[in-house]
Amino acid sequence: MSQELSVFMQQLFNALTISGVYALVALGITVIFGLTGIVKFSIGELLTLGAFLTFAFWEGGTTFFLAVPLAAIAVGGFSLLLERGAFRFTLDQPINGFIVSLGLILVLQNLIIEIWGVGFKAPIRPFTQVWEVGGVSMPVQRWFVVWVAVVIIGLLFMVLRYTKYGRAMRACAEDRDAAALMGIPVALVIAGTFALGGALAATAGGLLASLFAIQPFLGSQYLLKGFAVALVGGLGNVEGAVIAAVLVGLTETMGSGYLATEWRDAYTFGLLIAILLVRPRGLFPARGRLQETLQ
Amino acid sequence: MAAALLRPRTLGFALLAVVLVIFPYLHGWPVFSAFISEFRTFNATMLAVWLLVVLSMNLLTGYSGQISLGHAAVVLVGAYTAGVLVDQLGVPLPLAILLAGVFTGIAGGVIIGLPAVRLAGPYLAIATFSLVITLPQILKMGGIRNWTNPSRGISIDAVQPPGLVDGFLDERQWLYYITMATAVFMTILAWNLVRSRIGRAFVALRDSEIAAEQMGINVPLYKALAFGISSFYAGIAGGLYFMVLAFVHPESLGFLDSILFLVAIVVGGLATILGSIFGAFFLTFQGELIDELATIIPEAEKLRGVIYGSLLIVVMILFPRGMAGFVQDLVRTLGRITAARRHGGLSSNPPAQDDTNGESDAQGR
Repeated sequence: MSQELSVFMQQLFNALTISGVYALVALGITVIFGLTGIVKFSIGELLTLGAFLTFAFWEGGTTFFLAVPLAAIAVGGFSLLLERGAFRFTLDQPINGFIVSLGLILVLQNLIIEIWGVGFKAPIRPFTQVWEVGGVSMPVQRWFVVWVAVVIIGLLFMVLRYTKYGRAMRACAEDRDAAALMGIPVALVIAGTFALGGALAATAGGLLASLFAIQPFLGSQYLLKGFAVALVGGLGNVEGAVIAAVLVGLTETMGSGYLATEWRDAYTFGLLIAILLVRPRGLFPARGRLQETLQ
Repeated sequence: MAAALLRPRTLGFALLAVVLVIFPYLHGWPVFSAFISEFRTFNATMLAVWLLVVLSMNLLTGYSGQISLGHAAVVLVGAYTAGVLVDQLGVPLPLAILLAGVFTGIAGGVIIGLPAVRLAGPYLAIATFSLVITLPQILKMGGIRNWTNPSRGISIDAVQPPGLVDGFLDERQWLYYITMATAVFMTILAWNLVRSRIGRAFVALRDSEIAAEQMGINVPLYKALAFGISSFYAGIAGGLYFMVLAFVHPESLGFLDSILFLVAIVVGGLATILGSIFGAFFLTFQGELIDELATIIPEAEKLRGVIYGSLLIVVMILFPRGMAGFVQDLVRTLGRITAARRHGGLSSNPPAQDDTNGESDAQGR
């Protein structure tokens, strides 16, 4: 393989890894928005919480492979409690829910700092091997992240498409009142979706803890990227979010690989602005009554 | 006529005016000195600055329903514009503040307002969020580095009272009077604005864009105008902020301040002028309140963010109309009681007027 091609493949591989993480965050954002119209900014902090919980479990002696699901379940449960305790009162005023989520950012971020301090935590490395194919170095750890993301996304699609809960969720997103009339327990579905969104974000956080050193301000960075992805894909559109995640991951990695590295974030937002200028509701706008009244 | 002058409302405003005028001298007077220190003059000056910030945010979010997470950035632009004008071009400070307002107003209307015509709700929030994150970087960039001086910021000498009033007023009192006068003037302006054609258009826009369009409101124009007017207020506030503190730095105001402004309008009350005043009190005294709390609960100092956040959540859920909504309900109930009593006796007086005319219900979004 020529030198240039292997550099390109290396970038492609890096883009794939980061896209997986972005997709998980964006999916959490997009399912919650699609269902309730609430822009849940606090999902970034749930990601941070997931990362730190994974780290804490791992430090406590659990293997990494068990620590991530444990953290995801814990954060999912926490997210469910938040929905019951706060967000459900704001369902008819999504903007109030957004403001509540801003308050939550402050609370969670400061609590995380209180508990774990502001310092960096070294990445967990369950795999240490590195595959070398034609000059492209591919740490097994990164492959693991990619596959976990792919499997979770695949599972999510199956659930949305073929299970009763998935159908109920799609019905609620299309028209909450009609869904209620058809006997769908709307409140339960919404609560479940908040738990799902939290668990997805926490999984992304747990995976990040195995890639990079983590710190309490991790959330805002991935929140912004997750949002950029969800917006590019069309808020509320699950398939769109996955495609957009790959697009954003590629733009960012290729941009910083071949152009100036310090403008890394600018490429993403440049892409975001360019796409929103042409298509104000993203590449694949979501359908449904809620979406049409909100946007 | 005389009766009109004696109405409780008129008397209330007259009393307020007198208090505002004599306030900076109160700390020197025998009885008041016991509980008002000289430092309160500075507090009151900052209160005036925050009042303009909160008003600006309330015009945008409360009245027009456009959520901005980048408001700290807009205020910072105002402060920096005034700073650069004074520091680099030697423009006199009052003119610099006015120019800062105009510049920020135009910039806000064009740079944020025009894209906002196409971006709604969450899209706008994320766009303004990236603004507040990137502005410090922009201020540190090559081209304008020499002007903005990012490493040390811009500082000026404290403003001196003009020779005419020398001896009557010291520095602090002079600052208080000009800042408070500006704030009062602009509050009255805002009060009138929200009751005018433009203000009603803003509210209509917030409640339903489609309905507003059907009523013949030029939606893009009024959206951009909302950003323009709000940014003008923020720019003036930024200029005054620079004048009062005599210092500005790229990190003077950041994301946390943006959220704090949002907390202030929510706690005070969305879409009311009274709520903005409560919000300004909150911004002025929040630091002190938490310091007080820290003397009782030592952790309070460290958990500042947790307290703000919880406050925001609790108020948003339990009192979505904020303090102002609470006070309005109270006044209305009292009015009803007195009216009922009056009707029971002599029924020549008209029933108590509903003085919230034009103040829209924040829940009606």
